[in-house]
Amino acid sequence: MSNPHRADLIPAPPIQTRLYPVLIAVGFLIVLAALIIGIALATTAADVFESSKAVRDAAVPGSSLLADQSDLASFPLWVQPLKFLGIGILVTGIFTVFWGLLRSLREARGTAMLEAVPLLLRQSTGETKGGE
Amino acid sequence: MTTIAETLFGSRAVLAKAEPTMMQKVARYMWVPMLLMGLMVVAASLGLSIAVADATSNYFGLPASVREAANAPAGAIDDRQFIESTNVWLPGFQLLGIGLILAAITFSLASILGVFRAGGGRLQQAFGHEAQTLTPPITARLFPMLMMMGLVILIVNLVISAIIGGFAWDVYGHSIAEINAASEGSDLLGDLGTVNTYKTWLEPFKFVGIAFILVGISFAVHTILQVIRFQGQRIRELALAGAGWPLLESKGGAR
Repeated sequence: MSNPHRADLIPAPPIQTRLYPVLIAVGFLIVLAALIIGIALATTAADVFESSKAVRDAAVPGSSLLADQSDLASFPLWVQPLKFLGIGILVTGIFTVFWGLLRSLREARGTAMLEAVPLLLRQSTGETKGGE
Repeated sequence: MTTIAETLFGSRAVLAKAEPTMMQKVARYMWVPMLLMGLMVVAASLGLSIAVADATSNYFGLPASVREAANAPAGAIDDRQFIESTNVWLPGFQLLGIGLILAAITFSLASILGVFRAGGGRLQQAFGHEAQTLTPPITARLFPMLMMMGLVILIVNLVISAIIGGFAWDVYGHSIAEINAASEGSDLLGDLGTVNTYKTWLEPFKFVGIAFILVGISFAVHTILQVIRFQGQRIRELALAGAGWPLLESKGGAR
């Protein structure tokens, strides 16, 4: 059994908590897109390597075999940095949520501790004295 | 006093004992072995890379006419076999090491959550109140699963890479002249196709594993953020209760 969590005595969540899911989603989707391109390229590779080297080397301009070989050589050149872009955005998302954590430590918990702990100590000292 | 329910931040519950959960206790002991394993894998990868670099240096130290001839020296074929097969699985092995290090970070974040849970509960009890905590928010339930999912992807990637590395070993056990002369429908050309096909999709696949672990880390940090906000709210509630304001205490049983 539990009650809804109240948050009426602390500032609203920092903007970073709303920003980081976007960064994480974008980064993850980019990495997934790289995988999908990789799978598509794998089917191209399977087609290319059905042909012997002599046939591959003799492919004429405009033929699908030559186009496939060109794709196989060129796509990885930009898919590789694309993956790292995705990972970079994911890490930026982590940095953003850490930034939000820092703000929450300072603005929500730190300020509350600063104000509440002396009050609580005075109250508990008062109770002890009252009990004596 | 208005009540703002932060549904994403979970509800609150009362702790019977102010101590970490079982998962948090396990995490406290798991992050060191994970970190050490990760570092060992990364170091082993460096050693293997140096061996591959040495074999590559030897291989390309021979003229192209010698290393690509049908009667290429056995040493050249062995070098090429080692280079090509290792290059299939070594990147996956390296990223598994990085994945283990990232998993160690996830475990240490879970351990930090345990410290907040136990410490926060004890502080509330020290001031004579019930030890309230957040029920695990969705991010807390997801981050261990995301980390495990990422590690499973990295391990599956390594296993498949090792199998394809075996295919590469068979293919490059032949001289380059033989490989180039492989006819359509032959086993040799089929195996060469398998190696190149699998390498193409395994390359991005392992990064999906890393992405899962990174998403898990972000969720773990968000969970800590939620706990910090809860503790700020709770300590103010306790101070106000002492000053005569109404205090939100639980109506249910302890957890």
